[in-house]
Amino acid sequence: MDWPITAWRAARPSPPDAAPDPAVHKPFALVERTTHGLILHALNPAAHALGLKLHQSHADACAIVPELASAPADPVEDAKALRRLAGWMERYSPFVSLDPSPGGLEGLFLDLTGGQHLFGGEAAMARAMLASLERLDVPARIAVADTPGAAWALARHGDATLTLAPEGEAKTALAALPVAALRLDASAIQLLNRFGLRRIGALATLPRAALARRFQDAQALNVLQRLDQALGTLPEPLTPVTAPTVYRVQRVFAEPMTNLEAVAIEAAALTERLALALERDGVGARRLHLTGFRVDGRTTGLDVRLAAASRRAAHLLRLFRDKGFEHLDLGFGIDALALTASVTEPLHARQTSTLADADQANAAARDALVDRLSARLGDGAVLAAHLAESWLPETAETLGPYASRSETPPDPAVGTRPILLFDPPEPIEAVAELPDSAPARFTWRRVARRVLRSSGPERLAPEWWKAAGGCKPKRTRDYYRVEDDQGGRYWVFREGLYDGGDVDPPPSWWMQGLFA
Amino acid sequence: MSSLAYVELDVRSNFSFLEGGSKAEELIVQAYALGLTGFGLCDRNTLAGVVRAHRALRRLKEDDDEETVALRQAHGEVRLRYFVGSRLVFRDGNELLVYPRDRAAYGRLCRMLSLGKSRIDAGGSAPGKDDPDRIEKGDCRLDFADAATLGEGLIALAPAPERIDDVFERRLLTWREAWPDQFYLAAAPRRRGDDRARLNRLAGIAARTGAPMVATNAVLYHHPDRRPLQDVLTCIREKTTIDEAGFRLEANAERHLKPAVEMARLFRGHEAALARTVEIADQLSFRLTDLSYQYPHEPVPPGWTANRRLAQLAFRGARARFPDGVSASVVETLKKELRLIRKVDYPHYFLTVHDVVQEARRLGILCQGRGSAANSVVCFCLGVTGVDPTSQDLLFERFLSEERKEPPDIDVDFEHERREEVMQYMYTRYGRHRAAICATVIHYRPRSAIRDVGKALGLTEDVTAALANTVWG
Amino acid sequence: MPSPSPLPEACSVLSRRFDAAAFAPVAGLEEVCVGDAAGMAAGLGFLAARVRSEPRLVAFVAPRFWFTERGRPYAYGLKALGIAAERLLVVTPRTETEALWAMEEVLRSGAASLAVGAVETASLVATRRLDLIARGANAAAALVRATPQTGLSAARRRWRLGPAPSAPHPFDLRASGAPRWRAVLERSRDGAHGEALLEYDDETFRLHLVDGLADHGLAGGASVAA
Repeated sequence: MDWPITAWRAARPSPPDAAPDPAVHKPFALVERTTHGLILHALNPAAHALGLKLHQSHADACAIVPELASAPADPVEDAKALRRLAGWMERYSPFVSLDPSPGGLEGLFLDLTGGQHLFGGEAAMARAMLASLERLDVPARIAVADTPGAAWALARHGDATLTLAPEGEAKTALAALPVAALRLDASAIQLLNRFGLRRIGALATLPRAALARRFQDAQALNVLQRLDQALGTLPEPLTPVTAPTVYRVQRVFAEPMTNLEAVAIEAAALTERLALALERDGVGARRLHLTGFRVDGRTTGLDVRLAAASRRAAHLLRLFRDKGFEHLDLGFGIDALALTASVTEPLHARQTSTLADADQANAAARDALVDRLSARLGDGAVLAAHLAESWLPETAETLGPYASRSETPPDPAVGTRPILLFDPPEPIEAVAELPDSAPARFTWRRVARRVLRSSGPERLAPEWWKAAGGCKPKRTRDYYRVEDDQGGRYWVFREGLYDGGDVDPPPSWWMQGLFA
Repeated sequence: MSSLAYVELDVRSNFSFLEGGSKAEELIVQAYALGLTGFGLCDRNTLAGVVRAHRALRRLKEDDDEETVALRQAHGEVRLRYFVGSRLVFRDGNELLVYPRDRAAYGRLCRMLSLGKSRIDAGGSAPGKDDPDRIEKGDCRLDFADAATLGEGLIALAPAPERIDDVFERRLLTWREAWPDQFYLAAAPRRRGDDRARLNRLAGIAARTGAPMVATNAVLYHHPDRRPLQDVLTCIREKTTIDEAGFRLEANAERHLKPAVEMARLFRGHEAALARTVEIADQLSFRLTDLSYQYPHEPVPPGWTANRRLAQLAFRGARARFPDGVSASVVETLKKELRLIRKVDYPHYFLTVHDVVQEARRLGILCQGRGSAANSVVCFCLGVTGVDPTSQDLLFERFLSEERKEPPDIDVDFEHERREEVMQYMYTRYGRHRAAICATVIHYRPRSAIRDVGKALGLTEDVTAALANTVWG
Repeated sequence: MPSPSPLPEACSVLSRRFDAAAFAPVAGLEEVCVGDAAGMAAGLGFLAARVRSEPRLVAFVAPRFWFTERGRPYAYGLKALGIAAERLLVVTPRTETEALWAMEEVLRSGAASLAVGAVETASLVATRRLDLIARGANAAAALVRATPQTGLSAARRRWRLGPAPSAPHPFDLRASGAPRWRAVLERSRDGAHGEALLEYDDETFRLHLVDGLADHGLAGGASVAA
């Protein structure tokens, strides 16, 4: 079943309403500047009642209704606000679509297939929606029907604020509505009226060939298409605002939740449920979103990315903890929480359940250890090597939170590397033969050292595709392995080439690491 | 300026598609500017780029435009030597650079590449898209054994791989023993920190296997500034973006042409490796100008010379064309043309064309010669073209003259639907191993180049499409 | 910053009966005194080289400021010592007390085969606990410090570690070859002590005794890191 909701907007939908009460009770319009001058972009019921029409010129309107108040329309903001509302409406269904009607007549479509039971049935759901929209001060009309077309028609042209068309009875429900309810353009409506076809019922009983005969091809097609869509003989796929996710679990709360700890506990429960769903399908998650639906109509969320797919509930929860639940802005409270996995990939069972028992036990012990250490020392104190495919040593490997490390690091094609790295490198003074010999002597931490053995250079050019972004452009580095007379083995580099035109500033020398 | 001599023998141009980042012309000019003794182009399984380099060098020496003159003023007499070579990449991934000593060896190299490119899956059925045996356009299926069989007269250089170990040494020995000509080990400094050790190790291997070490720089572009483009080419080739390419990109920008002084420094302790580049070059006497046309003998009956046969056919044809009698001026023109044809030695060409046209006419296939060939009375009399040039006062010199040192163009159009029959005739007459369709190397047009580069840089499709739309082509 | 401390001449422990088995890793606590920064690299190398190839973690515990002074562990470098990057766990508490606690947790969990702590002072009680827990988990524990241990310690062995000039490079006389370390076993529960020059082979991931200082080479058991 498809459930469209049409929200009639008389004022700007964003919360701090530009014109409060007067906009509701007195005639009020939003005006838009066009090539033809100022026209009425949206009207409130009071203005409608006084006979004003959309797209009328503002000047004309003021002549008819001198006390008309107005404000500039902002279609861009309106669209954004509608999207925000759509996001919030996802608490009722993951499939919320924008209704492509022109500005001033916006609406939303919700496909609630399979979710009605969560709210106690369609009727209860629709009533709850209306009530929550009312609380948000969004006047709305809701219609429930088999098809988006039928619902659109009933919502806009039906009698009641809330219409429920019984299943399979779209034809009957629509019969009495004007043809304009079929989402046709003005010329088509005019033409139909001229032929005496004013109601959908009349149109539906006409033989189709006759229709085609009376209209030009494109027009006829459009009329027929709209009719078929409304009656359900032609499917009308909708594009949801948020890409549909297959793995989604959610929980609705009786009372709004304002406590982060409680949210964390709920999140834990959600990860367990999600993990089960992922396991059932043999997949692991690569991206997760935790979304909280606030009572004021907005949403707040946390995003987590994994370098390697996982479906271990504890691990997934750990990642949200690392991110920090405190980043959620609960506002005045949330009354629903959803966890979705938007990117998944196959995760072979062998990696988890058919691992040798010892390995599995080891992995479990490891996760538990990491959790314990993080709990006492903080998440930033438990680190692993995050490897990346880069020739530059400090980007090839960084220390980052253990939980989000890549489980399959790239195979490094790099040369010999030190066991300890100075990041950032420390400046040294060095004496070397031009243009690119290893240093013969260098001074580090105020101690002069004599180089007995050396090799290099290993020349590493800067990653030109990474913009320097303000700071001075990076230069080519020549790395050398040098060994002093004590056997100390160092990794030093020269930043800038002597024979490469690096003059201002001249090349400098640095200590990058120590070899075992 | 020292008198150090160095020939760079491992250079790839953009004809090594998506590997080389510079055009042959750019490489030639840069090699000259750096004062290199010589430079050899060896592109991946092809000889497609050799002509451009050859022409670029000739233009450098002969052209009189401002830019070229300025270059010559800056760098002196053009003494750069250019050598034709190819980089054989075998099915198992190993590579071998080959340089033909002479014309005959060049022929063998061509045969080798043709063999590799015409190899079809023995199974017969078309392999699927991801089948490793599937042949892509331009693929070459060669093994070392194929090359060794045809390798006489070809000097070979085996480039040292990234990983030097016993496996490599054994392979090098096997190859050296099997190769019918001189065989070398090409070493290039990778600048990965261990060059000295690497070169020492390679020198040891060279000594043990009897493949003397030769210095190269494994050139991929003419100037270090070209590195970003070369990185982008790698991304396109690997079907990835610049952010994801990781270790597939080179760590540095060292794969450019380097002057002798620099190479000597990089090969300190192994100066002989540089001298060997000149040794090899001195043995290569093949030049592209050695190539000349060789026409099939078949259209000439035994006992006749081609010129005589051509004259016979031309006069016979004249009588057919002018049934009311061949005028003296036509005869005179015919004789003049035939004299010139004899002088520049192209009679076979006319005979071959005549032969094909005749067969086509016999089969009832529509055909017609066009272009400057219409200016030739000989062509008209042979029935190749359809308009009497004498009636129009057309100039034969536009078609063929002594000054223009190239053979004439005789374009003949055949009825499209039946052109297969014509091609089959040629294959049957001359044999499949002697007849071929000319192939052109497809190259990027500006739009597709922008799209592919944009994709490699990670730009979204709409942005690249918008950029691509701003250029022609 | 302590000045580089050369291995003491006063180390009069050139025992001829120095058993190669002394180098084999054993469950329990060891202490390693390393001196300066280069010494620290040698010390870590020595410890890492004796770790077997297995899936358990190799944990390194040090207060945050330690990294800026001494450098941070680099997994690509550890790979050359036979330790896969995914085995590395680095824990950075604020204080040495927390560091000791973290080491205990790491060892107790059984998830690590080696826990190294950069802790300058550890009481006898603390060392005893570490030794017990390590043995119970069949893991090795090591405390590395810059200055020699003065007080009592329950460590099974006490080492002084420092770099030594590397072996000749097979292909380049001017380059460093296989790393070498001078290891002095100052004290051991079973009474062994001595000084040795060790060499690490990164092709076979084995530690070798370079000739001169012991009766017999490291055949069999004392070649470490299978």
